[in-house]
Amino acid sequence: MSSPAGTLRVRGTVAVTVCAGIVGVAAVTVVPWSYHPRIHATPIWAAILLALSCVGELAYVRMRHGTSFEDLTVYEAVVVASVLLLPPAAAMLVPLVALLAASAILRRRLVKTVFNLGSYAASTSAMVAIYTALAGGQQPFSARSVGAVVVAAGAFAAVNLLALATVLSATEQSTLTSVIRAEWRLSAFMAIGNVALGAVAVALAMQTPVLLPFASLPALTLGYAYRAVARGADERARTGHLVALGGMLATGSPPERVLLDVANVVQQAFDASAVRALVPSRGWIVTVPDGADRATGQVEIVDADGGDELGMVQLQLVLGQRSGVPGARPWQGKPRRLSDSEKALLTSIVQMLASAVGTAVHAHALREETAKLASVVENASDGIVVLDGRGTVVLWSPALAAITGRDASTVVGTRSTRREPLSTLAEVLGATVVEALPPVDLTKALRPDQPCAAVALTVRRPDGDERHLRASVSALFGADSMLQKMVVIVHDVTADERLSRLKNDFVATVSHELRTPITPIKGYARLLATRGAAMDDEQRSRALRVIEDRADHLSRLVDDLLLASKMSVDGLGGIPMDLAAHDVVALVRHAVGGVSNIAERTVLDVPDGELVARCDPTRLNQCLTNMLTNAQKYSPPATPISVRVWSDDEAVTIAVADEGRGIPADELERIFHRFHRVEDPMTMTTDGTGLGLFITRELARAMGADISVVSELGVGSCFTLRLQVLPVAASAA
Amino acid sequence: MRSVLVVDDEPNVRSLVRDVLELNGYQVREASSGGEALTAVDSQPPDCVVMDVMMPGLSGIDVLAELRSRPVLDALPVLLLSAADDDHSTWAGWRAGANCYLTKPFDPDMLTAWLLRLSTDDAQAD
Repeated sequence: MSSPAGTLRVRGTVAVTVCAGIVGVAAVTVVPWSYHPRIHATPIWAAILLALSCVGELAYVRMRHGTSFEDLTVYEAVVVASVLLLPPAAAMLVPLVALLAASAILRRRLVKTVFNLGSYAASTSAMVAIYTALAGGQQPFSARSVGAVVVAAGAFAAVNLLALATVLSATEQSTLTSVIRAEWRLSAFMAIGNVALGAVAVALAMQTPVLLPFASLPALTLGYAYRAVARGADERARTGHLVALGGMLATGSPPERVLLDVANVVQQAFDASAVRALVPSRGWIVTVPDGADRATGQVEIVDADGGDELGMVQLQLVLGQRSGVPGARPWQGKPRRLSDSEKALLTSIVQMLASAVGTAVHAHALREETAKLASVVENASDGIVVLDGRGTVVLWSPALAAITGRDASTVVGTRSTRREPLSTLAEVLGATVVEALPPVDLTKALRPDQPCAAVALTVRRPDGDERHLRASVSALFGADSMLQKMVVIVHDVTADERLSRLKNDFVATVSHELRTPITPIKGYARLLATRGAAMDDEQRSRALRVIEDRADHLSRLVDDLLLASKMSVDGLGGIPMDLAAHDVVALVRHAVGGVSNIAERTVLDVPDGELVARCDPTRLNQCLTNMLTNAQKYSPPATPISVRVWSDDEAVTIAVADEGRGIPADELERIFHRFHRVEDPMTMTTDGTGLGLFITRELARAMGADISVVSELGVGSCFTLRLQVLPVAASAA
Repeated sequence: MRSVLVVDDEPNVRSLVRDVLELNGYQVREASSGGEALTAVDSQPPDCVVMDVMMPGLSGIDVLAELRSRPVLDALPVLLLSAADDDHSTWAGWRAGANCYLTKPFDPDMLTAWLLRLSTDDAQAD
């Protein structure tokens, strides 16, 4: 009766059964039956039969129907005796009164009592009516009356079976016919047994009452048969539960879930009112049903050593409280004890449970570990590819997808046609190997005793992009020394290689830049030392002038290098700034004056008054000098260099424009990068370290300013520096 | 008195070489680029050329290759004066047909010694 719909069906069935019973009782009592006057139809016999019916109902054997139970009794035998001995109305009423009394003693639930009364009223009235109608005025145990009692008992069993099947089909959610198919043999067997028992008892009582005790023999036989049937049903149900248990243990659920499922099954299989499953070492306690009061029943503890680090797993069963209203004492107050076979079974279950919980714990740990590894693979910046022994890709990490431009979904499962691991790798990566260092044959290099190798690879992707990769190859060999798996961790060093090339270029540039001024310095110094006396005054003074000028140049170069290295190490924090309000116009004039050979080319367009902005005058001068010398360097000697200064509400802007060769559009941002030069350092036509604009922009930013550039090839370039205007209060101060 | 053509884009280096050579009695002409050097050689071949390698436009190696491709000038003594002292650059200079490869910064006495040696070789070859 799990669902509301099921409950309604059961109630409907009970109502119909009760109605049928009332109709039956009414029919039997109202119809003026003609029957053979019963010889023993006395109140004493009625009382004896009442008592026997009651006892017959109380001595039941409980039989399982899925989750519900049916009580198998010898009540029907007493009904048969009543029908044979009592007048129709009494034969019907006596068993019903006995049934009511037995239900009261057993404290059966009201709905069950009402159903039983209705069902037995209907079946008994049918039996009484059929027997009386068929036997007519015949004596008991004439051929006709025996035939009548067999037919009547058959009708009794049929009506009972129908009522039982109807209510079971409602509670078990199965069809009426399937229940009847499953139950008809038992009903027929009960009918025959009860007719035999009832008839034998009556015959003995009528002929030789002294032999009556022997009538208990068929009763015992019947009871024994009932027990066998009930045990069979129990075994079937238990087998079903154990099969379910096997399924549950194999699901790979979390350990706590396994405990709960097993406790539920054990509760049903052993008909326990509560089950607790405990794993003391883990502190797990699972109680089924949740919150059951263990004090109401006996707790039987079955211990089993799990045999692993989990230690002990326990199952505690609360047995004995088998029926009745929760809280009310059942009549068989004695707790049920587990039989030896049940204990053995339970011990096996506990052992299985312990191993299942152990497995579940390991599986859980494994899943967590796997998840951890998966997240490592997911988040690793290095690409990871795993190939099986036949070169099939089984794992392709997201980083590798980024490096190769090929998604995991398109690669996993594909198989290389190559045999040599390096070619396999290249094929898998979708690239051709340009160069491999060391140029090893991995088929030979990877051996069970030396399963790792590192290779620096230069590969070309299908899109022509060349990548520098560092691959760590680890091979896993099986017992037969056959390659089983190859794990390759691919580190993309293309960016590092580019940076390294940039640095090499920078070193070449810097060494050239440093050596260039040293040549005249050292040369003139040596000349003065060895041939000074032979030189005339003009030669000597030129020599000294060149030495001084080149030394100054060197010193500026070294300053730039130090500044740039400070910027790279400390960021802007490394450059001390002395920010205050200064007249930018004056600073621009000063900067132009400081660059040699530029004054005559410069077209100055500045306002007459002051333009005050926030800056560090020394650093601003450095920026302006860089901008001016760049304009000078990268434009033909005779062309003008225009310097404009203007202001708006927010900024004072300085623009330096030349009419030089211009800068390619794709270089416009990169010219501000450290070490970057538009020209190849080996063939460049102008000197410079590639640091000027980098330093200028970093200094400008440190002053809260910014530098930008617009340029057109062959027309010229214009660099613009915007300095923040100070707030009025600050500038006044 | 022998004439020397000094080719270098760096004016300070040109003036240094000029001073060194003039003090040793050479007649010096200057060219500030590879192109100028070829023009100068064409107009009046010098007895010897002292030439920088890394120059804008035509490099010293380019000019040397051009000179060596001309039948009249293939024996003209050329001394390369380069800032690049790595093996690769040195070999490139020698392979292009330089008679001498000196690296900057250079010793003025070494330069004049080599020039003397080259002129002697030249005289012997004649």
